[in-house]
Amino acid sequence: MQLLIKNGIIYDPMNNVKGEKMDIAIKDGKIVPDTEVDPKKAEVIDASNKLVMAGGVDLHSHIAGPKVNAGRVMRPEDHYRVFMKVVLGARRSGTGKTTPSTNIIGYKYARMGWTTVVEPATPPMETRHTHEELDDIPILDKACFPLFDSNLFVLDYIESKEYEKLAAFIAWIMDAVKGWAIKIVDPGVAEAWAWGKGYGLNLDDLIMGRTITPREIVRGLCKANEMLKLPHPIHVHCNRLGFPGNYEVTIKTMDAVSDLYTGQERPIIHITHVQFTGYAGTGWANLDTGADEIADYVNAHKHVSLDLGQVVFGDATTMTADAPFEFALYHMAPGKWAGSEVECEAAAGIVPYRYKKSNYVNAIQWCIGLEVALLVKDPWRVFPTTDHPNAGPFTRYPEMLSWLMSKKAREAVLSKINRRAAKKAILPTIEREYDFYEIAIATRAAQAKILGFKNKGHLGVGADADVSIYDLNPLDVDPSKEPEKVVKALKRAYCTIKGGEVVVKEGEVVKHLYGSTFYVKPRVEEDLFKTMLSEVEPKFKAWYSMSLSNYVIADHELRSAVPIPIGS
Amino acid sequence: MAEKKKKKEEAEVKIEYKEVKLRPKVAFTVPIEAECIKPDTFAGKSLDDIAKLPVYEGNTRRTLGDLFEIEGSPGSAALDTMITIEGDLSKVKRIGEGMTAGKIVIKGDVGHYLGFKMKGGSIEVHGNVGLWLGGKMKGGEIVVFGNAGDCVGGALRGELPGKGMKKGTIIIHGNAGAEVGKGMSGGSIIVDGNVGPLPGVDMRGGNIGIKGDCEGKPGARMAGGRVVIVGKVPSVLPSFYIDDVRETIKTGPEKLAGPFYVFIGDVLADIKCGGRLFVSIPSNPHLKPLETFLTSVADEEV
Repeated sequence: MQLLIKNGIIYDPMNNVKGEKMDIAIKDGKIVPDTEVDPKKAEVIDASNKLVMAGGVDLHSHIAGPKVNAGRVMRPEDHYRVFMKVVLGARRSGTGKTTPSTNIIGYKYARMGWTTVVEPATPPMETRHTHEELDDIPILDKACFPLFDSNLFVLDYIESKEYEKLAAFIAWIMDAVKGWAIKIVDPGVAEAWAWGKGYGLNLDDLIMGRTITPREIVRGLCKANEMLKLPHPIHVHCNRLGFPGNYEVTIKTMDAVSDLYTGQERPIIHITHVQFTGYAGTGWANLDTGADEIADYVNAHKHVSLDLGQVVFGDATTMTADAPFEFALYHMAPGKWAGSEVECEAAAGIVPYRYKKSNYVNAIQWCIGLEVALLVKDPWRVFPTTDHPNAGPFTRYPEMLSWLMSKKAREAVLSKINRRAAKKAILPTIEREYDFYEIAIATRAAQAKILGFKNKGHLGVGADADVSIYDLNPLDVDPSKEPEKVVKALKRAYCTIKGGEVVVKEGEVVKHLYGSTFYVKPRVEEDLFKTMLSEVEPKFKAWYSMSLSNYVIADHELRSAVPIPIGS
Repeated sequence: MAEKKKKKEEAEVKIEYKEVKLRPKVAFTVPIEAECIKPDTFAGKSLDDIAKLPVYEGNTRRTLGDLFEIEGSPGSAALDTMITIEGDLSKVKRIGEGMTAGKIVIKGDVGHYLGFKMKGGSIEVHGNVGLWLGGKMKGGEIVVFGNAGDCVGGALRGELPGKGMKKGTIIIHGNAGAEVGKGMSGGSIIVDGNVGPLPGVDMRGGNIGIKGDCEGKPGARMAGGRVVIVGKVPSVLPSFYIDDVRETIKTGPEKLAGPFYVFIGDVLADIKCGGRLFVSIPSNPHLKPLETFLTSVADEEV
């Protein structure tokens, strides 16, 4: 299979290509030098006057797992109106807006030009389910982050300060459940929630039933992560998420690991959906933005990266492994609530929510996300996401990107939101606008780089042939003046290529195929590994309801598992 | 007010309906989605155009003419168009969905979602009806001379309380199924016969009058509106307070004779107890012990 993309206007930040007219040659699912492809045999795609970028990468989108499925079950009303019909030979059917079914997750991402998506929270014990669902999502390449924040063994090792054994345990879990990075959700809260406590736990509060604080969990897991040299830094959802005044906790969390940074290229802590943890003020009535303080800290320190969790107005389904917060949210937004606990590992909750323009708090939330994105100067360390489906469905990415690219688009929304919030926000004073190069960094190159996907996010020779082509001439169209054109083009890609195959043509899915699931295989010393396992086994027998041999997921259980060996 | 009513009645009488007759060509075996059968789409069209309207039979796209014999001529507007359907339509769903004016008369049984989201006009059924009769209705009138299924005037599954029927009238001369008026926030439903469990569940407004018996749990999670039960009730939920005794109560278009116990609730849905549940005293002698709570409260007030 050979493909030739001709005369596209290419943005490829990793290879310093900034809006140049070039050809891209694809052979056997990889990008190759032009000379290797025979123009007579190859399928030629005419991309003249069209924007060409690498396939999009999303590092934080809840697309699979037990809680996503529970969200689907508890929201039938989300599935009545939004559906995709079957097209024989091309695609299958599906329903759902904020909690879509697996097939249309893949199709809708591909339609926008995204080809790699990561599920950011899965309790290790239920990761088999997560992989079953990931396997069922077409087109995309996937990975998942297991939860470690309240794991029985992790807490035990941190309590006894045995960080090497902790690293060995993490290495074992990553291999056993096929995970990619360490996810920390509100450290220690799930442990305290098991005692009925943990609501609003702060970074230096003692965790009920333990002698440690969330700060020690973050530091311990960060140390272990750096010992193992995992490709992605620790992925942290901060304490006190969703509480007014929590931006201080966020800054403290970032600062808690600053001394562990030794000047390496990639950050050592990733703060996720920072919008939810960037509130100043003392209550909901005087909620204010903490975006400027967070942005100042990130600009001054190189060890941090952020993603937004940008609110887009409309329906959302909040689902997170932060059970006490979801319980609190249920009382703020009455309706339905689901909560669950995974033995020895995590606790989660789900609450449907609707973000309203007229609501003061929601309007401030909308501002905070954009303020952080615009005030942080380095686009390589701040990624636009909507934390799908917590702050809005991923299908709204084009609008979100247009807000970053155009002050005019932001002002159009600012004029409609709650007046008091619009007056209080910093957003109206910010002049910065992203250009196409920065968008290519933030949505492709930087996210692939921080995830450690070496073959993703760029169009250099040897990269995976994931390409998105948009019907938009970036040299002609001024995104700041014509945001609606950008939205229109990004919503439906002219062409999306995944692994060298054309999957989307002129905005419609034309091919149903499956991507791979990546996982890390860190290597640790054999003796250490054996000691760790001999300690884990009896505890596992005593505390878990399943046996250790059933806990481990084998390679053959995944449709296409790609192990990435780490370290030596 | 009286003058206005007279004028309205006169206006109704004056309409001379132009009739379109439909008759099924075969006995249907798979569900049919026929949201196009309503005066709004028929009005001003020739019979050929009507025959070309799209209908789904199972997963197959067909035209109305494939499935029905069509006669007569429609009016120029929805207002003076009447659609008469004869035959067994128990597999046909969504007839009259979103209709705004005109009339539909069905002589036979009919399937689910009849008059779903309808905004005006009237529907008359001489037979039994499936589920979600007049679901999420916003206006108009439905009269059924047979029995109706579950969720009459109801919100869809999973929707928030108050997203059901908003306005309009549904009169059922037979029995109705479970969850009559689920999530309704306005309008009125009158059932001459018996109903299943949970009438008025998640209710936020409007009236439900039940002249027969109720299987139980009336008004669960209601926070507004009235449920009136003239027949028997096995018990009243413990989350209701007994408040008063009333002789008669007006329920939508009708006045129902009691006397009734008046309950307020449901305290689990709203601490303000905006819902009113009226249960007949003569039909429910087993609720007599509750009267002690009535007198004790009255004493305290004195």
